[in-house]
Amino acid sequence: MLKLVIEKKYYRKNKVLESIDFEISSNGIYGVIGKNGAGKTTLFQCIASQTPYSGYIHLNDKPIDKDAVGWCPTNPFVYDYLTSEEFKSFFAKLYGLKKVNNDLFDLPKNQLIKEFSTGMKKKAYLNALLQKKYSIYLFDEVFNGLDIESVFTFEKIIRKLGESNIVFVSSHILPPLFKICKNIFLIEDSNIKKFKKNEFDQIESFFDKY
Amino acid sequence: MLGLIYFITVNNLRSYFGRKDLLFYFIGLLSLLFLLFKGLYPQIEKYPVWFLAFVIEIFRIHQRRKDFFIIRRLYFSILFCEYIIYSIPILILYAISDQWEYILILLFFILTIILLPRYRGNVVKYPFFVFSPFWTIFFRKNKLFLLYPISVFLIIKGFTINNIGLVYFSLALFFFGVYNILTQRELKYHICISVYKGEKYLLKQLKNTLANSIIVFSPLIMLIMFYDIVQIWIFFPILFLLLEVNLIKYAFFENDIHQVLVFIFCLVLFPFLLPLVAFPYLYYLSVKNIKLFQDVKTGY
Repeated sequence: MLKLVIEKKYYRKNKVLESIDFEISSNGIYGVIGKNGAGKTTLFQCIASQTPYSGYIHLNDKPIDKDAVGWCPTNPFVYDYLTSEEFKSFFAKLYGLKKVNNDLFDLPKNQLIKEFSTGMKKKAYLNALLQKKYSIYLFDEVFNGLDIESVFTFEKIIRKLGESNIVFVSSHILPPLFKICKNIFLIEDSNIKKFKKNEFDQIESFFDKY
Repeated sequence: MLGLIYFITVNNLRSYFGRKDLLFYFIGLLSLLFLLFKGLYPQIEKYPVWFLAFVIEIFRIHQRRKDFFIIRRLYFSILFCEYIIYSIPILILYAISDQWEYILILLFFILTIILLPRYRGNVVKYPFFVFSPFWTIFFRKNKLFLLYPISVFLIIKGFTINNIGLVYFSLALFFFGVYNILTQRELKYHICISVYKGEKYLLKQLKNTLANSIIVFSPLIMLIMFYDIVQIWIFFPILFLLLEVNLIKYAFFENDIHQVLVFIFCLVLFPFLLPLVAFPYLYYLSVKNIKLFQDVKTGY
């Protein structure tokens, strides 16, 4: 079970998140939506222990261990002058893995990452990241830049991961989230609002007011 | 074809010369003539081989060009003419000093560069340990392997003419190449997600530095051993200093100026064993910083 309490999170004097309090009691896929700058990435950074905040996040009643969280940011952290294979080996070394696992996505083996498109860079990062198993997965705008085939492949991967883990997916494109998510969290004005599966139709009307 | 050569050459030189700036062209031409006939001409008779180093510049231009798809039909002729145009100053110097054999050697190098299969798309693999990826990145990006022929030449020359200074200079070339690699900072995120925490992460990095440094220096170590085994003592301070550079990076991770100043301090006071004395403190600071990056505390 994941219990998340963020009393406040500021960047300098800018309030990003406040009084966030929710828990997730079962494995599955959870969507996170919100306008640009609403705090989706900050929420993920807090869960991944990448930024300080006031509050606590507990996984199974214990403070969350950052090694239990796999985070794929919107713009993945890759090195341009490595090949995707070398980048994967680099991650395997960071994770202390003896064996480099198989690829989820096929990528050119003899080409530098700098020559990759946005989607290919994301695939290279996902190949490296998903060598390890985590309890919580955070995918920040993961469908951006992926081609149609990869979107379907990745949907399958997310569904599989969601069977035995907690998976958060943020996106600005609602239909894929409606299809795969158990609940969707909307971040607005530093707060969070939860929509259950049967309430998804209210989300669009929520944005209609703009 | 001549028009195409003209446009490609002008396009490549445009970064150096302004458009229709006659005064600039005039000053540029005067400076070039002065450099050629006053600066370089007296040297070419003494050191004709060194002027062949100009080939490296042509190789660099050839590797960086992206217009192969435009000139594919006249590939050979265009590139040959263009590189001859760039080489005109050196060719003139060789011609007026009557060193025709070097003109032939230069032309041979230019032909080789053009006819060599381009390894564009075929990424050169390096045998480095990737826990720190910058060894591969830096060698690949800056083509540091080009230092090998120069260093090998200097070492052989140094031992042949009994000038050990040349040998040390060639090692210094590599040392500063590797120094630049070791000052490259990995992303804090990558330090953060590593399963190796604090001291273990640092030790892993130091082992990586040691192993990769030995890989880089091993051809030179073997060459020096072949000539004079006693001279390999020089590698011990080099390896120690490289480990120290690695520590300095983590000890002053966010401050480039501090890194450079501390390194210069260590280098200058090396005879007084300052790096040895500072090693434990830099180690302590490095571990402290790595722990700080890895333990993002909740709360402010």
